[in-house]
Amino acid sequence: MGTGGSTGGTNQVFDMIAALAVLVGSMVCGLVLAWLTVPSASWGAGQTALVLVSCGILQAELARHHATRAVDTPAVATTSVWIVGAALALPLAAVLVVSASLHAHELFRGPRRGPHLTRVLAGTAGAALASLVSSTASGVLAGLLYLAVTGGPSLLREARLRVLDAHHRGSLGDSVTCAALGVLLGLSAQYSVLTVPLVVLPVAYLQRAARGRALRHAAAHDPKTQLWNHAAWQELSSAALASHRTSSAVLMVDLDHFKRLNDTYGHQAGDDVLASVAHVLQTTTRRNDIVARFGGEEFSILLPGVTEEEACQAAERIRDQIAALTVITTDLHGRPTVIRDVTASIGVAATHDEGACVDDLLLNADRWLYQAKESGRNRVCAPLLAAA
Amino acid sequence: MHHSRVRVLLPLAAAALFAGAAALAVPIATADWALAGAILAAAVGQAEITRRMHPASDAGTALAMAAVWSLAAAVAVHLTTAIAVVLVLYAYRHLRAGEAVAGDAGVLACAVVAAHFAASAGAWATAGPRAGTTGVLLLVAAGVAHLTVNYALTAHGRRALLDRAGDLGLEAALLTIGALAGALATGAPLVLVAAVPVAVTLHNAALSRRLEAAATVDHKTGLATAAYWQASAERVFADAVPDRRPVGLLMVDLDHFKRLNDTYGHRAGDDVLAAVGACLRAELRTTDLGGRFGGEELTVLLPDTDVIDTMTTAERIRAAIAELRVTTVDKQGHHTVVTGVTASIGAATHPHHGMTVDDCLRVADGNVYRAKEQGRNTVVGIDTENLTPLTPRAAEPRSGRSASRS
Repeated sequence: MGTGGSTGGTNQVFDMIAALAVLVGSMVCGLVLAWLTVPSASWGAGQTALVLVSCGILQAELARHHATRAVDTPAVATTSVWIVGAALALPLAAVLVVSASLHAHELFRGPRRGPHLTRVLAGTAGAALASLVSSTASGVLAGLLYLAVTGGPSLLREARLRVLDAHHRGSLGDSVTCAALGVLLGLSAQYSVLTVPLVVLPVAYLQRAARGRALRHAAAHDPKTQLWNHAAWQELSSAALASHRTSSAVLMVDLDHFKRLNDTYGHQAGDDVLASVAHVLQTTTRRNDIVARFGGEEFSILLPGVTEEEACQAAERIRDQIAALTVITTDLHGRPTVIRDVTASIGVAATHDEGACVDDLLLNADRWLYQAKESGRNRVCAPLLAAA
Repeated sequence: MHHSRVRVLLPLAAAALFAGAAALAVPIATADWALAGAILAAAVGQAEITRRMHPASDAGTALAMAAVWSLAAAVAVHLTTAIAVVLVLYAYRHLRAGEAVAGDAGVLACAVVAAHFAASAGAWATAGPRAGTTGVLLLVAAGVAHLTVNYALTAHGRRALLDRAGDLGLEAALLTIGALAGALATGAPLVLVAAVPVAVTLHNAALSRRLEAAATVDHKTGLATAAYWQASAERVFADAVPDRRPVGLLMVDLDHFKRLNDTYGHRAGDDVLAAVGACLRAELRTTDLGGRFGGEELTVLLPDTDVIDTMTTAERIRAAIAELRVTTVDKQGHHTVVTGVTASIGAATHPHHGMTVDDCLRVADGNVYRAKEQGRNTVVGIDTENLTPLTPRAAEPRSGRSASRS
């Protein structure tokens, strides 16, 4: 296998060249290995490899054809189906050739941007490992190993950022499904190469499922912050309020002087601040809290099953964290800038009776938010605090 | 009533007969029971995962999901145990969800019998996975037999064949997974674990298909729902406005619909709406989109259609609706034919009447009102007398602006 070395992935061209080098390396390794082991590597293996590569490319082209332009579809890497299949059915030499060919196709025609090198390296390493394991142990184990090598790093990163939301869980599920389908494919390809084309249909529907999920995600989320959008928040909050018998609270968070920030530093800076604030909101709230970008620089949060006191504490925590933010961004002239003075005003409204509806809570929270703005910004206002 | 009970019991009785005969013909090995248990476990696991993801699932997709595991069992184990898997699986569904499942269980058990004989090439016992072309062909035959019996027995039931035709590809995909998992399970039972996530994801695909359909098609008229129509119109306008390409909008309002409802009853009202919806779909091109705006108000979107063509289409629709003869049932349950259904149509076009969907809709709505005032069953859009002066005036600033831009 080729060696990649450590790159930051900062330079796109370098990243592309390095990824290509890995592919060429693994392709050459595979061919040399095949030549060295000619007696054992039969014509049958070559045939199966060819069918796997053609089906993989056919599938990828079909997916390209169907991809919706309207939404930036995070395409499923169905390449892994064919690579895992190859790892289970073929000798190591053929696995390297198949994985290099399919990765190369993905590199040039695939929808993915971002660091290619890590993906290609992980894919090739995973395929080789799975191939070695499958010859001695069970195919399912090999599939799991491939999954761990290819999906592990990104999963760890997301777990560290604590943003493993439904969407990420969904794409994780897709990776698992692809690997599982690859195991089925690989094991049945051991019996007959004719089973390989049969798998094209399930993979096509798998892609459709992912596309449907991406569309639904796009319909319910704000693209700048990846929080829920206004409509989705309203719907989810109504449902959550209806199911919670105890009191609940709504926080309305509004960034102070956001327009001024936009005018001074430009829209890129504004977007970066929004994204940072969204991250603060997601990490300082609990799992079942519903966080949305309500529009502009306004965020709404539903805290199901909390008392007003707890809600005020949560709001204070959020205010504190936002005030402590350091956002690294670029200003109007494209120069790197650091923004430190981001603050937010928060209005809190809590309910004690069961029949409360979201709109009333929202209206109340908005009133207290106005109060917070009036009394000097960067503060939390709530009926409880006003009484004290 | 009696007829439907026969339809439920007959497949079950036939399957039980085959199960008994198979048990007599070939003794059941312990390994068969073990593998059947493993398939059952995978099926229950998949059902539980799906249940957690989608609390409200419908019977159609549930049947398709059970098909995966029933085919796996049909291919992998003794026929008697395979039928037992189906029955236990449905008993579990009944206990868990409280659904009436006897009909589905019978259908699926018969499909299992057919798939079993196809996979074993007519023998009572399955041969396990066979290498080479024969093995694959037998598997494909099993899948086809399963699908055929499944369709043949449910076509007369609560789902029409046409309704399910769209799901054919998905069911074929599911059956492929079932057949492969079943064929491999004899050698490596762990493969059933790999089949579970695949089945779950394919179930999601089936559900999202249905959800999309439910969100986009109005079930009474077969036209687009208001939300979907609005979204499509916005998209068409977004494409058309920069190039100043014409877009036509029609608002179709049925005349005296309330009176019709009062005289003949709601059933007749629904039938008339459905007939008008079908009429609209027949009169429109594939690029046009008819939508139900609410009540008896329908909307039509005509991309790349200028003033004259919009008016022609509107007139054609008006005439077609006026000629409708709707066979329906009145309040007393007597068959009646409703004639004389008419509609008032208001037309508006981009860029003459506005640059946004809402602007054009407002104009079209006003025109419907005027059509009603003019005695109904008419089209109001741009008067032909007004048309001649309006076109050059509208063209003037257009050429001026494009000249200044270029």
